Amino acid sequence: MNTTTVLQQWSRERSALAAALAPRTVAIALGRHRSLSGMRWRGPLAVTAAEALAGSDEVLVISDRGEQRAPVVACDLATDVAVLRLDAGQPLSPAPAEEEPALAAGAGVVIVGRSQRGPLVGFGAVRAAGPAWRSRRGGAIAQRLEFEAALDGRFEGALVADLAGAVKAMLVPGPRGSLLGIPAATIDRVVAAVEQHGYLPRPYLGVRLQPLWLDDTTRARWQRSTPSVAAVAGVAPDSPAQAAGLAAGDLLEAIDGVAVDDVESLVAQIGASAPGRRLALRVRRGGEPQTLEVTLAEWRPAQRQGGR
Amino acid sequence: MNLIVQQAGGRLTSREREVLTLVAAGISNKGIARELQVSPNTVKFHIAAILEKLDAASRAEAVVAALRRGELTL
Repeated sequence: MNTTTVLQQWSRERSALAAALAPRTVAIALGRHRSLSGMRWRGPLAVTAAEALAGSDEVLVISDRGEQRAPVVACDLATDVAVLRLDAGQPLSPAPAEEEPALAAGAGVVIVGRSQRGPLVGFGAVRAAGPAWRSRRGGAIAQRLEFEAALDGRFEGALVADLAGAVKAMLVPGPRGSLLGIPAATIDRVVAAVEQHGYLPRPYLGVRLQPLWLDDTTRARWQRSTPSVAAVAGVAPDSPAQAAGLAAGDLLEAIDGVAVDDVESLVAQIGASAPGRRLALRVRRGGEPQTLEVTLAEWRPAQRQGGR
Repeated sequence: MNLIVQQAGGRLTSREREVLTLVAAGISNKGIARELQVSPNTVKFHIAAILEKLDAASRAEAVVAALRRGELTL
């Protein structure tokens, strides 16, 4: 009998999908027995999970084209995206296209990573999908994605694709053992900045902040949806914040018309803005709202303001 | 002028704030060591102490926790 069962067909299509995506993946060796995954993004640049690199400036990368040492050219802890530069001269890989549709809850996904020994494949589903959000890490993430799959630590940094083979996200660990996806749009924001500058320029505002907890009456009067507000606790000398006239005690309510819910949301909004960007800050000073214009500077080590 | 209040968990030392500011900027351990003219092991030691003081599970969490406490400049 020469008939193909549905199960055989299903099985073949699964392995063909994984095989088509595997050449994009790389393994990153962390010591002798630990590795994580990454993927080629565009040109010589590959991406992986930033936190897992633990401050390395160079890593051993293993792909289907052999081993090489690769410098870590950017490490964005807020989005958990690190960018590696692989050898020039390697064939260029196109960036994953922004293909519709966006992943929806319940959709099937294939997760492809790599260990030192070869590709790793897992199949799973989208457990939750939502609008843009701010992670606990202080990152502005283009879409909330959580996955359901049985994976181990070697998959950290693996690519997540839909069942048509379009790369949609990078897999990273979330709180309480959850599996989160950093969407392609967020990865591309980091990679594009690295392509333009050779590194990742950081925005600098020059404020120290503290959450201020409002009582219900004040909250209602100021029409705030969150219990806390980001209060300016200090302004660095010669900083954009000082130039804009920000002062200790100002409460930051909105940036460019987008409400600032708390300190974390301010950190994410500033972190996702490029240096040189002009922002309208709505602050409350002495109970009265006012708007200040600020132009973000680029962070330099000299501005580290460590001591006081 | 600063309006910073004391919080539980111990304040960071000025050295720890310098280290964490560089961590927040995505600088590698070796880069931090060069910048502060200390050994990479000293940097790792500082980072471990920072995570402990801020009760943070990761570098990213430590950065956000320190920003919330007004110990880092954004």
